[in-house]
Amino acid sequence: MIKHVPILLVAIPLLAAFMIPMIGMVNRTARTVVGAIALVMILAASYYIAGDVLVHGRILYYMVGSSNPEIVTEHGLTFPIRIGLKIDSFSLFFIIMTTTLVFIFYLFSTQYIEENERKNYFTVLFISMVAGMMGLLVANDLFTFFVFLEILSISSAALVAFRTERKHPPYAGYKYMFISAVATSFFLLGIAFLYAQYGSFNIDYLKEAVRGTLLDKIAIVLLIIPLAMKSGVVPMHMWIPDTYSEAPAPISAMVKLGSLICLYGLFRISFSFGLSHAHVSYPLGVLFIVFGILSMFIGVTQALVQKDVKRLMAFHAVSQVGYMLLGMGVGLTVVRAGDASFALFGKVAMIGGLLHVVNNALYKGLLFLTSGVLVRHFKTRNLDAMHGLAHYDVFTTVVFMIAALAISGIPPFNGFVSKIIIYESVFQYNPVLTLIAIFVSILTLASFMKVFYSAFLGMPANKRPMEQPVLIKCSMLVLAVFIVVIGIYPQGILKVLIEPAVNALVNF
Amino acid sequence: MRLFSVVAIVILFGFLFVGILHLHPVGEALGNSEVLQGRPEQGIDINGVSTMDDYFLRNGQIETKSNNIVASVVFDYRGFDTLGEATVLFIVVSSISMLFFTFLKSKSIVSAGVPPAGQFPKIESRVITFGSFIMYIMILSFGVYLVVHGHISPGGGFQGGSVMASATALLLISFLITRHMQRTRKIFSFFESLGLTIFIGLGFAGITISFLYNFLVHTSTGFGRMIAFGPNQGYLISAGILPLLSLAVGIEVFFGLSLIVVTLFHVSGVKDTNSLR
Repeated sequence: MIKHVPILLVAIPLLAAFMIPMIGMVNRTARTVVGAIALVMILAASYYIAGDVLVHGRILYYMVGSSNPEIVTEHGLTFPIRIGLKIDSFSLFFIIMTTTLVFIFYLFSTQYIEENERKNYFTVLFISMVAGMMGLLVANDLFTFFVFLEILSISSAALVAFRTERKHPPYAGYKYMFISAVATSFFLLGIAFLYAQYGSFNIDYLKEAVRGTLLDKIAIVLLIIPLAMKSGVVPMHMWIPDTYSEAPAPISAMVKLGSLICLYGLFRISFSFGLSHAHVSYPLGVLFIVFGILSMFIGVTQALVQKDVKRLMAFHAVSQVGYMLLGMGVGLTVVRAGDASFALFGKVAMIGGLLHVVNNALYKGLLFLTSGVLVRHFKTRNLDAMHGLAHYDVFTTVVFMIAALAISGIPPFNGFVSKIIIYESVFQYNPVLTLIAIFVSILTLASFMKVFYSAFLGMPANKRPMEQPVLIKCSMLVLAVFIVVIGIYPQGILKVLIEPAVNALVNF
Repeated sequence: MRLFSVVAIVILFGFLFVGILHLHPVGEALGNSEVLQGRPEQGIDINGVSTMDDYFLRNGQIETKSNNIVASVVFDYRGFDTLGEATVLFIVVSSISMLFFTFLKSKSIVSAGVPPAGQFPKIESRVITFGSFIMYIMILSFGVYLVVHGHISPGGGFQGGSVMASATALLLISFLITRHMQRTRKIFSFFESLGLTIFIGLGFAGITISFLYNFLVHTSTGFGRMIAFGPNQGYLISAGILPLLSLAVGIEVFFGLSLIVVTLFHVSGVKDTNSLR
């Protein structure tokens, strides 16, 4: 059974998404339950293979439709002819993060989105978004990667525009759809260049075949820039504020998770095509560092002046991506230069970058969920109109404080761990970069103090707030617990998940 | 800002131009090209076949028992991508249904040109209604032909499905189904999901060996019927699960595109969009 797990991770959400319109015609509760069952099944499947892949370092291959799916090249060929899926420690790290988080967000959305016939389509698109994410994470084939990127983009764009009764969400969805369409067309062009040259889509095969010619470099740029755009790196971040702020709260968190998955694609492609040649990997690493510094600085300075709570959080999402790119970029610049510097700080920087990915997914998800509660309570996103929630809703206040302190890098929480790892390792590469990163972290704290001060402190509002439904509370509580646990005991996740992931990426 | 975009476009065109100059010549086999020279083992199998497309041309007909190599690539070798593409259409249909939901549920909608019940439409002509009914049957049967013969001749689920969906558009403009919009949409939505569920169900049916495994092709009769190598007219019942997958995609595309056409036709009849907010 374990050999079928790569395909089941994609096929189960797809099957659920296809059946939900039929089930929803009969019974609405059954439709919600079917979605939850599908998400629990992929959650269980991802934990089921964790031992084999992470501990024993096994790599799962799956050739779809082949008579023996575990053999990559059948019939004595030296090239794969079918669509390959692959799970190694690096993808499994992202898969475990994704399956866990989407289940939490799904629980939140079941009670957050009002129940009516329209929610059938919401559930369908939510589950197909999950299928798109899983497809991206398991694909070992560039064209399959492209197809699932499209699935992810289209379903996210539709969900961003969910509140069609208001004026702005349809525009935000349209903007996101348009920009994704442009990005994915260039991605397809890059794939076409590589296919014309080497006659295959398989990433492992192309990694062997790519020789670092001019055409290869053009193709790599065409593959990397769209993915950087979809992960919201600064020169291409113009869609982020609108998209994140107009979407319903669980969808903001999901789109954020989707952009982290695109970051996975960015790392996967740059490390697999860049590693074999030093004259490709070094400029790529420098590009990552430049993108990272720009994202950090511009994101946080834009966030400081915002008065809209969700827009503020969206700009912080831009700035946090910078830390990940900085860590991974430092690793990428030194990985081919010499083994000494890589062992000294390059690998540590990559570990910090990857830990920041999971930390960011946790506290950013929690922040978006709390922003949903805020917006629902105050009926506005304007910070000036909010005050005094702490008088009534202690639970939301506490989880918001945990998330805000975590994103600012205050010690007992998880953001501190990954940030200190990045600071220490990047300092040995270039101290100026660390100084900028610390400065950005201080500005982050400042802007979240502003949110906390305006929304939670101050005179209590006249109306008593409604009690939050149980699933909304549960999902926020689980995220907060994850944040605290990783903050107090980071060795566990570092040893079990992150280190195998970095090893798999470097030895890819 | 304008200067910046001009510079960006110039760089992009430079990329494409340089890329095309360096591209491998069209039609030349990759095995002989300079790319693989010096590494003869790369991309060549024991039979001297080089790269993927060569393999399909030589072995596709034998392995999948389908005369149409395109169909064997689309539904067998790269069937998973086809599932993804069908999902893209499904998601688009769901998105349209979700985004125009308030429009569709609104009571004040008058569909374009449809008069209140009890009155005749503006265009009530025997020529149009009867003529489009005849055309409907003809277009539909042509679409069904394309879908069913997808594994023998050019065509297949996507193409045939689109042809059939154009018949729905004909019904719309001749006002044959405008009165029963909600019921029509429900039926279409149901069958669209059903088509995709059949597709993925066929994939799961082979999961004892692998997902989307062509399990019917290895029998000697029925769908696994032998066909000769080279040009021949082929058989309708052959090629394993390929015709079934093609049929499933045909159902999905027909009902999916019809749903889009019906929904957008309905939405275009909304007179005052501001009143819905």
